[in-house]
Formats: sequence, C-alpha cells, structure tokens
Amino acid sequence: MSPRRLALSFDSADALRSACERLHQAGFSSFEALLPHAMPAFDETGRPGRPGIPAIIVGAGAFGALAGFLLQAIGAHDYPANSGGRPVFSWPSFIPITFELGVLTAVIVGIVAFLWRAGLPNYHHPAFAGSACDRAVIDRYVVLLRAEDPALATDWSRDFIGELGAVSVEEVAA
Amino acid sequence: MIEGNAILQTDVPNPARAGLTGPAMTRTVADIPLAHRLPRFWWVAFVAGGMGVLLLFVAIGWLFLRGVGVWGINRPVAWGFAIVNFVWWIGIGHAGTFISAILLLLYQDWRTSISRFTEAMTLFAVACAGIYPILHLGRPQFLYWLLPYPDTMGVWPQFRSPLVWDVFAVSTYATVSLLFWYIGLLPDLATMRRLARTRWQARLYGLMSLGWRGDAVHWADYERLYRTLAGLAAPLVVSVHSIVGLDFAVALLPGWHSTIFPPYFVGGAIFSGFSMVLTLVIPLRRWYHLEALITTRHLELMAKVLMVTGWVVIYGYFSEFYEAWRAGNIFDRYMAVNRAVGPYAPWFWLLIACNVLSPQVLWRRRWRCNPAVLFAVALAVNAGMWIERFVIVITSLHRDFIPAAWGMFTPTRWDIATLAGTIGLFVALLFLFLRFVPAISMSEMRGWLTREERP
Repeated sequence: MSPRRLALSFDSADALRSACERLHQAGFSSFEALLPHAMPAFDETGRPGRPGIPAIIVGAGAFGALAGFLLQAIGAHDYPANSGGRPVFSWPSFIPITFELGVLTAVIVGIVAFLWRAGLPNYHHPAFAGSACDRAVIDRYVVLLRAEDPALATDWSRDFIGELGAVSVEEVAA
Repeated sequence: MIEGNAILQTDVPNPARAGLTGPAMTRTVADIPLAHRLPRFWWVAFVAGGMGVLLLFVAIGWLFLRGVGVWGINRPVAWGFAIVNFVWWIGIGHAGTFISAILLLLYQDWRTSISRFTEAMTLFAVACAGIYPILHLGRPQFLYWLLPYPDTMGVWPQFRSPLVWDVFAVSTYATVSLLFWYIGLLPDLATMRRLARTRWQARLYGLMSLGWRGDAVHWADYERLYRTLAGLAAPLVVSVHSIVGLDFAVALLPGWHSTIFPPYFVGGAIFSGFSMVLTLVIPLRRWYHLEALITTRHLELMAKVLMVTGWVVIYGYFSEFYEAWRAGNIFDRYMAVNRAVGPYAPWFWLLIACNVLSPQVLWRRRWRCNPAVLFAVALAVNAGMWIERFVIVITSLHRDFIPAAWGMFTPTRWDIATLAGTIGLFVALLFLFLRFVPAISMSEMRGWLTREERP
C-alpha cells in the first residue's frame, strides 16, 4: 500500500499555530504546514538551522563584485586606452560596474539557492492530490501528517487529531 | 516581521476593516484575469496599444533601412529624442522598485496594494527605455561590442565611460526587476492555478508557479529571500539613475557638467515614476472597482511622495541656475540665459508650469484626495518630466562653446513615431499584464488582512 498522508485544514493562522504546538507536544515528528501567506516567526518543525539565504546572497554578491572588478582591471590592462589621461588602473571608475555585477550575481544566486533548497520546481506533491490541502494557496491553513508516523498508530492519536479543531480531515495519497 | 516603526506608520485603512476578507479579496483580484471582465474595454485599449507597436515596428524598420539620419539628430545635437525618451522611460521605471523595495524595507504596508502593478510598470518602462540606446548606436547589430567578450580583435569596452556603466546598470536593473517581480508572483500564480476556470489556465499558471504549494519552510526562506532582494534592489534603484545622471555630468558641456546630476536625476526619476503610477492607477481602480484595495488614502500618500520628490527636482533646477551664476563661468551663464529666453524658452517655461507649479495644487488636502485633480497633476508631471529631459539634452547641446558650432534641433516624424510607438508598446504590455497576471499581490494582502484580524 502506498504511503498516505492526513491533511488537516484550519481556517485561521492561530488555529494552525496552536495545532502545531499540540502536535509537537504529542510527539509527532515530521509534518508539513501549508500556508496561504507568509507567517513570520513560525517554524512548525523546528528543524536544525541551515546556512541562511542572506548569507548565501552576501557571499555571491562579494564574489560577483570581485569578479566584476577584476574583469575591468584586466580589460583596462589588456587594452590600455588612454581616456582623459587616466592611469591604466583607474579603479574609482570601476566602482559602478563592480556594484552592478555584485548585485546581479547576488540576486541570481540567491534565487537559484532558494529554489534549490525548496526543491522547486516540483509539480508532483501530495499537496496537489487533495482538494482540502490545495486550498492552502487560497485561504486554508493545512497540516500534512504522514499516515505512517508512529505517533499516529494508536486509537488515542486518532481521537487527538479529532480534538485539534480542524475544519476538515482528509486522507491524501502521497 | 517586526511591527513597523511608529514614526513611519501610515494610517491606511486596512481593507479588513471595510469587511473585506481574504477569500473575497482573492476573488476580486483573481477574477480580473480569470473571468476577463470588461472584455470590450480591454480589447479597445490593447488594440490601441497594438497599433502603437505596429508604428514602432515601421519606425524601427525604416531606421534600420536608412540609418539614424531619419531622426532629427545632427551636429551639434547628436543626442536627440533617443536620449530624451531613454531617460524619460527609465525614470518612469524607478517607481516600481522604489515602492516594492524601499517602502518594503520601511514597513509601509500601503505599498501592498500597488507594488505588483508598479513593478510591472517598471519592467515595461525599462523595456521601452532599453530600445533607444540600442537604436541610437547607429549600427545596432554590433550591440554586443558593448559587452566584454573574448573577441578576436583584442578590444575591450571602455570601462571608464558612463555609457558603458549604463549598459551594465540598465541590464542589471531590468534583470533584477524581472526576477524580483517573478519571485513575488510565485504564491499568487499558485492561487491562480487553483482558481483557474479552464484547463489551459490551470496548466499555464501551474507551470509558471513552479509547483508552489505554500509550504511553511518555503515561506520562511521566501521571506528572507524577498527582503534580502529588496535590500539589494534599493541601492540598485539609486545607482541606475545616478549612472544615467553621470552620462551627462561626466561630459564637459555647460549645463551638464555638474555634481548635482545624480541626486537630481534620482529625485526626478521617482517623481516621474509616481506620476505615471497615478496616471495608470486612478482610471484602473475605478474601472475594475478596486477602491476597497487602492483607497483614496493610497492616492493621497502617492501625492505626498510626488510633492516631496517634486521639491527635490525644484532644488535641482534652482541649483543649476545658482551654480551658473555663482561659479561665474561664462558658458554656464549663457546656458542658463539661453534656457530661459533662448529659442527653446517656451519648452522651459512649460516645464516650469508642469513640474514646479502644478504639483503645488497638492498642498490642499481636498485636492490631493480628489482623483480627478490628482490625475490632471500626474498627467502634467508626466509631460513635464519629458520636457525636462528635452530641455536638458537639447539646450546644452545646441549652443555649447563656439557660436560658429551652434545649431538647432527639430524632431522629424520618425522621432515622433518612435516615441508614440514605445508608448503603444507600454500600453500593450500593460494590458497583457492585466489580462494574465493578478495585479495586486494576493498573498501579501492576505498577510495584511490577517494581521489586522488578530488583536
């Protein structure tokens, strides 16, 4: 039998927040939350920290700026056009392009890193299989539990799920 | 999110207070492209823009056949409409990133209602702007010579030239604006996929949304990414028009060779950008009944930005004349006199009327909050900012140092056709955007609505 998941939908951010806290306390280890909008300071799984997106962006920006500066310095050295009597290594006039290339690299790398970490593009996911959890992109706050989660095996946990106050509980194929 | 700085808080009425809930807001916004209301209005506007695009093709085709001589440019005015239009469009393209990046970092919630729309406007304005320098090259097929690439001639671009800085600044700005806009769109494209009424809509939006599903882990990274990109885009906005200003300031011509240019140009860019936003938003909010989302208070705040940047521009004008007088350079002094009473004086005084006098109407709250008055002022400022660039470019070039080298500039019909053509392109792209993309960020708006609902 294919693994199945349980989709609990809530109609407010607060309901989702408290449900996630109770699930944690009850020992549920892996579940996903699907939200219709960004909820700052909300981390439903408490997974260990990874190097942040901002750090990647700063690193990429520094690399891009350095590469851009070297590009100009090498270009000016390789083809020493006398422009207004400026020296070959006229670094102040290299600042604008250094900045632009730094920003360009930072933005492109930042977006690629974000997509990479999020595993996007990904057109196949249990979230698209059920009508209830797909409403997370409109107005529902959804928790996706793995049906094989050991904590879900007992009758007690079935009742517990019922008490969380979900608007709907739906089983979706993974 | 840290709740905003109290000093910067603006009391924009939250749509939630007017009884607008998340699902109703989503429906209102998503229905504009999905249900395609107002088809007749849309088609009329789109076809009008499309005619402009055809005109642009004809004008560019003729230019390619005959060369830049079809324009009115010659010695001494070699920078004619092409540069005027370039600076005008790129200036308009500054409001989008200003609103979406700088106002985001300042926690100005009211930007939510207009950010998506102005970002799109930015993209289209930058696309229109980018056409001109390429056409003005004379041999546009050698465009790639501007880029550093390993060529067999062993030649490198002149990295000390602001014109080469422009290539990097404008292409970076276009790329970053597009990516920033697209990343902001991802959650909304997923919403559109879910609400799609036909199969092709669901396929198209699903594909474009990259499979966004609203995972909380993705959201956390997304927020950090979006804010960091905003942090990068904010200095980028300032850099682009500064570099455009340096195109002028680095030249030795009277009226151009001045350190005021970068800040004066950035102020002017945001001034013209906001006037274009108002020009577009005022009719569209009425036609599409978005008054609950884009309120009169939004218009008032935009009017205030218009006034503040208007005064930056006025300071720029003052500075030009003051410096001409104070520095005592005879050529600078003549430039100032020539602007005010020379052959292009009517344009100069029209510029003063449009950019200096007309925004002063907005001191009165009643007029500031009146969409019709605001729309008229915005139109005047749009025209005024175009005339400003015309005055800067033409009056400095046509009479510089040696009277024997003076001349006049008269635009040809092809100059005007190209300008009209890019306006058509802008309109056509804008209506394609309205037809296919949600014009207001639904996910950000949802976050705002729920923040209001919580105590």
